[in-house]
Amino acid sequence: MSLIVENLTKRFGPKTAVDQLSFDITQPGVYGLIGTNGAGKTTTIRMILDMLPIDHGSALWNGKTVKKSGLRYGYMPEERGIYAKTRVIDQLVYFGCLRGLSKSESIAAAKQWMQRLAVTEYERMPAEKLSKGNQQKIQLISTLIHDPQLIFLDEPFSGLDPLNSQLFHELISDMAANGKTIIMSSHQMATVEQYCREITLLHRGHALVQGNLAEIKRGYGHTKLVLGASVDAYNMAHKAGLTLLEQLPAECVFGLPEHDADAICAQLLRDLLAADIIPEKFVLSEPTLHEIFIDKVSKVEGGVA
Amino acid sequence: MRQSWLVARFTFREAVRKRAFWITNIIYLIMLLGMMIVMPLVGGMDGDMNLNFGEGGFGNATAYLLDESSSHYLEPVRHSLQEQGMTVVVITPAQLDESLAAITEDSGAAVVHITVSEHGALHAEIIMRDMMSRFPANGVGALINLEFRHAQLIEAGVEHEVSTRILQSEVIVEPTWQAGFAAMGASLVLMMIMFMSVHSYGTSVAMSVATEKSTRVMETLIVSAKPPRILVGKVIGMGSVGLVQMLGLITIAGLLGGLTSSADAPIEMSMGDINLWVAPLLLLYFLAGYALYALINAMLGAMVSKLEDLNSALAPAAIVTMISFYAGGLGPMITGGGQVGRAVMFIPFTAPFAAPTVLLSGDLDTSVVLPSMLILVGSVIFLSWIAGKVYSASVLHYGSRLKYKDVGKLVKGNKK
Repeated sequence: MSLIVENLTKRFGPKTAVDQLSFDITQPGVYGLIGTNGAGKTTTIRMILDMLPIDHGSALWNGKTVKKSGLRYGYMPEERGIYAKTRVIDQLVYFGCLRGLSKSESIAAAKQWMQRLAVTEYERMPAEKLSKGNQQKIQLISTLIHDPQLIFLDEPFSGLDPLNSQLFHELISDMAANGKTIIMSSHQMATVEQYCREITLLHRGHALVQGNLAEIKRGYGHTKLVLGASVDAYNMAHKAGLTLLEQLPAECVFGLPEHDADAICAQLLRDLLAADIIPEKFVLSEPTLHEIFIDKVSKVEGGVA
Repeated sequence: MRQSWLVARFTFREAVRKRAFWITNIIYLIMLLGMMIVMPLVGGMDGDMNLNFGEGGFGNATAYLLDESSSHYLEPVRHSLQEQGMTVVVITPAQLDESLAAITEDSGAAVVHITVSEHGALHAEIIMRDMMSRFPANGVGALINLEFRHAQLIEAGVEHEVSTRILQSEVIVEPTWQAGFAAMGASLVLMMIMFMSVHSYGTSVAMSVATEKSTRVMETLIVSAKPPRILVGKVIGMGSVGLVQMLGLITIAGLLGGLTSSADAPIEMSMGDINLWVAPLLLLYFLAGYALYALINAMLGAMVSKLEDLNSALAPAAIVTMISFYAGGLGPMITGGGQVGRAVMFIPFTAPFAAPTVLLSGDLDTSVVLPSMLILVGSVIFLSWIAGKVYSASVLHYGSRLKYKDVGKLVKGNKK
């Protein structure tokens, strides 16, 4: 199972929405496609799914261009779209049949998914009577009803309460564990960080950062020190050249210099111990995806300015 | 094809399930029943009028006759009116006001005031209570004319018998239609059904497309099926709704007609010498015509992102439909077929409206019908191709309504 995207380019008039984008997914799991609004995430997905013609480049699933006749992929768009006046079971069966299932297969799959997502009681209700979260579940079922191998989820967690988020979380984890390839597009960096092994960070149609998330973070090195100790310890950290980022009731978060951060922290720890200060917390951390995102985008925007 | 069929079936089921569909049906049925009740009543009313003022004479009517012409024609007129059973009261100018007051109490009474104009011509004014008066003004007018001419002929030396014969002889003109009254009525009804179907179901197709776009269902749909297949499915589905509704109404009308018809029905229901194969041809024109307009509406529906923009987007289609209806439907009827009837059969937009009149006139000229049908079907196929392109390019466009030049660019971009 592999999705190879090479030099994907899309122009709308003078504007280049996606420019020479390349990435490949060779193992099942969740791949993150992140970026600002208008970065080109949805356009990229639409090109891969053959919903928009590709101006240049290619997108191959198992060596072949993705075609609707293959019917082995699912797409949950960012803007939820279900028939408001139609009964839940009727539209699920309709979408199932459109994606190649027989009527009986569609009914069976719809019922199974509804049970899994705890919406069986709404089976015969028109979709408009369901809450936003439940409508989102119906949308997800319509995406997965035909058991696709390649799944695109555009902002799957938006508008979900914590309980439903947990339900979606378990479902996505199960699908990844069962060998599905999932491409998740999201603004919620914490969510992407939680699921995705690999990412592409898009900005204005260009890939700013790509690759294995852990490696990307390692590339940044340690950028913060969380120190839980006495006031004297904080003063020593300040003298060692660390920048106070955040002061919490029980601890402080310090920013580390770009160079020799680990050596500076090791020396600080030695100095603290020498001064008989035993810190309750001394944690070196890598940047979050959110921080990487802000850093990369602001650098590009600064460069542009 | 399977996907088009699935879309068609879903569209049909959803349309039939809607309350609006059943409300429309109930309104049509009420209108149908209303017509069936009113038509015999209209016929009955004619009969009553004939009984009172037709061949049976002018019974129950009263004429207050005032002659200020000083002519000697008054007496024969009075005599003649009385012979027809009318009550005639000769009045003087002093009694005019009293007589005018009397006619306000009696809708079957009138003042017949005879004067002489400046040029010496006789002038008969018939003053009735109001427009709903039962007074047989036309009959009385004709009778006064007859008596005046008769008197003038006598004065000119014509013998009484000769004058009577001359005045009684007339050419009887009776308009008849080769295909009968029912055929003319049927072509009018079919034209109206065609127009209603094109308008209401064409608009429904556009509405369905625009709704799917505005609610973003389209994004889910086009992942599953190619846009042209969805388009074809929608057109077939909505067309089936129209066809089922039309056939249902025709069946009910037929059943009601069978139940209410009688030997003395005012309208002859025979379709004359019309060929049996006209029915399938009409059905074909109906389907092709509907498809042609539905495809245009679907294209226009795909160009909007918000339902409130739909009406303005559909305006060009509405104008084309209207012009085609008048040119194609009423043109051959008003001009009596001929060159106009032939010409509009060769224009794909007007042919579906012209077909009922042309086919039901009994003149089934294959040199007209065959090329006309080929042009129409060819146009539907060509338009399906164009509509598929426009629909595919437009359905994922959101924001302001697409202009025609933008659609052109999108279609061009989609070719890459």
